[in-house]
Amino acid sequence: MNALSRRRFLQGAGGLLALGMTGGLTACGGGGTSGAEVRKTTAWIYRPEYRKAIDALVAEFAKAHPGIEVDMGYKPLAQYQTMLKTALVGGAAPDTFATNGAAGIWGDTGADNDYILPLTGKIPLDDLHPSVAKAVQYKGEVYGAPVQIFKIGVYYQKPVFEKHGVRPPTTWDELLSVSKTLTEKGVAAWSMPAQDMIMPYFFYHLAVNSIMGAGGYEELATGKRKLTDADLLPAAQLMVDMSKYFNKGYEAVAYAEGKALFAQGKTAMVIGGSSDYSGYLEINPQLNVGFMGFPTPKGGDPAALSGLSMAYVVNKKAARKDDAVAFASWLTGVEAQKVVLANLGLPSRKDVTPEGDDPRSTMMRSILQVAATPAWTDFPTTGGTSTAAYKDGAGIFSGRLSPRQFAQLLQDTIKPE
Amino acid sequence: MPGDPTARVPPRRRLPAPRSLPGQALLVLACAVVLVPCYFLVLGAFKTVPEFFSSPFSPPQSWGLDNFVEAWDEADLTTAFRNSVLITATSVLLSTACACLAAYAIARMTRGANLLQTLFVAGLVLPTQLIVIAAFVEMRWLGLIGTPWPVIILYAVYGLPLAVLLLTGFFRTLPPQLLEAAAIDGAGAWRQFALIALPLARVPIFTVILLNSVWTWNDFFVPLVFANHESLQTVPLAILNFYGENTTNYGLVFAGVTMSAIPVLAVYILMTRQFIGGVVAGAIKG
Amino acid sequence: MIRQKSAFAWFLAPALFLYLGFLILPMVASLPLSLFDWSGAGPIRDFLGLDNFAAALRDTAFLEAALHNVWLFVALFLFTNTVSLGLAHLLDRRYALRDVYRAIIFLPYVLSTIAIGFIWQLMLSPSIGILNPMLEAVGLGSLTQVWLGDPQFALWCVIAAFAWQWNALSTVIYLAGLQNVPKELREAAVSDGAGAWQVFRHVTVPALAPSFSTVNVLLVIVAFRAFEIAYVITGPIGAPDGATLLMGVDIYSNAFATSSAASSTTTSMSYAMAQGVLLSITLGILAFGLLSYFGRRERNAR
Repeated sequence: MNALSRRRFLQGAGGLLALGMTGGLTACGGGGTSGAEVRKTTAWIYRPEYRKAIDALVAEFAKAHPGIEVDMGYKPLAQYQTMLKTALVGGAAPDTFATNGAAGIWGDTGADNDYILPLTGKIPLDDLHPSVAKAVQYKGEVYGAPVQIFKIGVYYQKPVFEKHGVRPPTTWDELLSVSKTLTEKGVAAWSMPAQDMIMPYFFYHLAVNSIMGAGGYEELATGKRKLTDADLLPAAQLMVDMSKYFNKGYEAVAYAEGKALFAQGKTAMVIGGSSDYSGYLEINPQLNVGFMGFPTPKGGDPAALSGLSMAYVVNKKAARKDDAVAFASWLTGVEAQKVVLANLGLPSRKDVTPEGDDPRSTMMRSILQVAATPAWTDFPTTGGTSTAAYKDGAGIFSGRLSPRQFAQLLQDTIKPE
Repeated sequence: MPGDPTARVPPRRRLPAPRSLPGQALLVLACAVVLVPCYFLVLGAFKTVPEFFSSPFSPPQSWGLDNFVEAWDEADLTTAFRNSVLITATSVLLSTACACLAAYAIARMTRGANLLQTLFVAGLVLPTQLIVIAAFVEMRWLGLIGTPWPVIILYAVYGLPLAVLLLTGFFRTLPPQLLEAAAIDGAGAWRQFALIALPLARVPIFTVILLNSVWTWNDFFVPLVFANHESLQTVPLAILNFYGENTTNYGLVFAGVTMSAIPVLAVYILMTRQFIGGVVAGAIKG
Repeated sequence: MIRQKSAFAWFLAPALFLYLGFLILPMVASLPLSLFDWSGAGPIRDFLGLDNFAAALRDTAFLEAALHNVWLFVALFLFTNTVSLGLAHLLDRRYALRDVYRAIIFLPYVLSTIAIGFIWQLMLSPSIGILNPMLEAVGLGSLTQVWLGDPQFALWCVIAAFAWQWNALSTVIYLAGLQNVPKELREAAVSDGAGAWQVFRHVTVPALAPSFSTVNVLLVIVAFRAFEIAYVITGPIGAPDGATLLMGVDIYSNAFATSSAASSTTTSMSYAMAQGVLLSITLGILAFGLLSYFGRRERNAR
């Protein structure tokens, strides 16, 4: 140990310390001071990959309301719940925040725990698709400003189907035979990423609804019908029967990878929603796909699922509630909904419909034309089925759960009204 | 490194070739195992998303820096790097300074030392992720939410247990005679610490700094919860934003990860000798 | 001496202030939650006593996750004390390119855990990964697998990713320890006619005692608090069907969200807290047990 190195070390450490401290302090002071004339309202969105669409919305809002500036935070979906809960409990959540589905209305971070402000009278319910108008209501109040709806069905690769001489299936038998044909010809028939069980859950949901038909939801919600009823069990069995046509190693494939495989044309079919389409195009601009409802057991009109994809809710502790409400309710207006249609997915307003002949508009139009049944995730009564399937449902593929046990697992979370 | 006794290499002598061939072969194999995923990472940083799926194994069509530029701009990595540097530097220095003082006291104390050490080491086994809500409420109460301070303070605190553990171990190995001699010369506790103990602890201090800065640099959980405004976001958080569910832009993720690893790697290479000499000097003593 | 003692109080003050104020205080405020029913948002509901703890001890998914952590620990322990130690031994000698090797071996440590998880997940993918094509390229096509999709291999794949990262730090710690082995001692042993193994066993290993304790105590903590790498590779439920679930992942999922798309209706912060307490108790016993074991051995060695 010589004196030189000792002095150098102490100098270095001291210098770094001073640097860090002053740097930290300046960063602290630089934390966003806004002009006096523009009022800021903070907002969060749970999908950074929607950035372009959301930026367009915010820019459009700035034109309509020059006095209010929306300070949008883009948060990764996988950690959104963690961030939101902590911020809500800590009293530092943004003025408005997006909910992923309807659970944000009635779930933990919603009205039941008194975190969000009623928007009754500020949302044009009559102009909205009836299903979302219903999904944003809870205990007699309107709590959310629906931004977009989802329609979940089956996307399929048109060129692959043509090449192998198969047609979109309309019955379960055809579904099995088409999948079998494709698999035999060396094409992976399905993308079914099951790591988080999201897609398999919607597959099962679609299958159950295809048995129950349009009125089925009410019967399920009132307890007249149960997922464990003999006539609904085949839906769970179908998952097991179909699993041999799923992509290799699907049990552990992540959602994003499963989607990308389909978008790249590596698989022929996938369960997907209206807002997935733009994601596919980003991966593969040459994509040529069709959208169809889920085949029914014995023929009949294939149907998709429809529900609330995204709504904005207003924080009860928002600093300037009227600005926050202004932003949220503006999102359901015609201008905003046009931006949604052009950049995001299906708008929640009935009167904003795709026009034009570009591939995107054509696709959106064809998705809108498919008949739909209500999604369970929209309602507190049946919303728990998704979480049960995500948490424990993977047992159906590993053999830990029989189809009956799988149905029972989900049925146990349904609380009839 | 100047002044490191282990680094004093005799002037210009040809390094001997390794004698044991099997040993050399094993090393090459180990390096290959380490490098394959890294190769995949760097390769990926140059690829477009379609390329990823059509030819995962082959080199990219172009070695252009498009992904890097796009990742830099889209994630606003200028801000993120500035925040990461500030947060890492401040919190690591804060925690190292506190840990040095505390570890020295614990090592020199006769009564209560074990209890104190146990208290600090307990921080390594407690479920820190589960207390974020309580910590958030506390930070909010202190009016610190919206500033970088919650992140800085929490990183400093979470870095303490390991730092105290390693440094206490080191300070215990210092011969007491050394400090007693200084005491006889009239040096008080502070001067003994600053003039004798601290300079001797140079290497373990470097070790603690390096271990904690790598962890702080790469962690995303603390800023995720406590720096929830875009202007406060750190590099790992900014990169996390490319990892979406709807579309994951693999190329941007990998370009971002590569860029975030470069500074740490550079510091590591510069500090290799200090570091390797250091880890064990501060080894754990029960 | 009296002046020294009061000085020590000042030495301890800043660290204790930070530590008690920002770790112990929130911890003390949070721990009682494990006795209640609280989802993690909204009002705290009923007092449950020890029900959460009892439920955790009966929760087969959690117990299986604990077993996976044990496997992770055992595998890493064996790996560290053979491969990492061996590599450190090889890197200890002086020869051309040694510093390059050292830098490469340490590389995984500087990458973020998220990135490591992400890379491994993609590498192992049966559709776009490079592991299977690589095996085919070297003529081992028969060894290709679906890796993560197969419950038989999935956990070992995740463990491999952990080992890949952990090897960096443990090798460096051992390497540092080896450099502290007095050269004269080794030379003396060799001139006494001791073989390489005997030198290793009787000179090197005792001198490495501090490194052993550093590495293995850190390892216990790493293996039982493992979270990010596994979470990124196989997701919130440890796909396939819990085969790779680790305690850290299960606790996080229960505390905040089972899945990115899930509603928050089934999370339970209080249950996660109970699980966390159980994990901390286990970990505390192991870590402090090891610390005192190695402490005793080191004192004996001296």
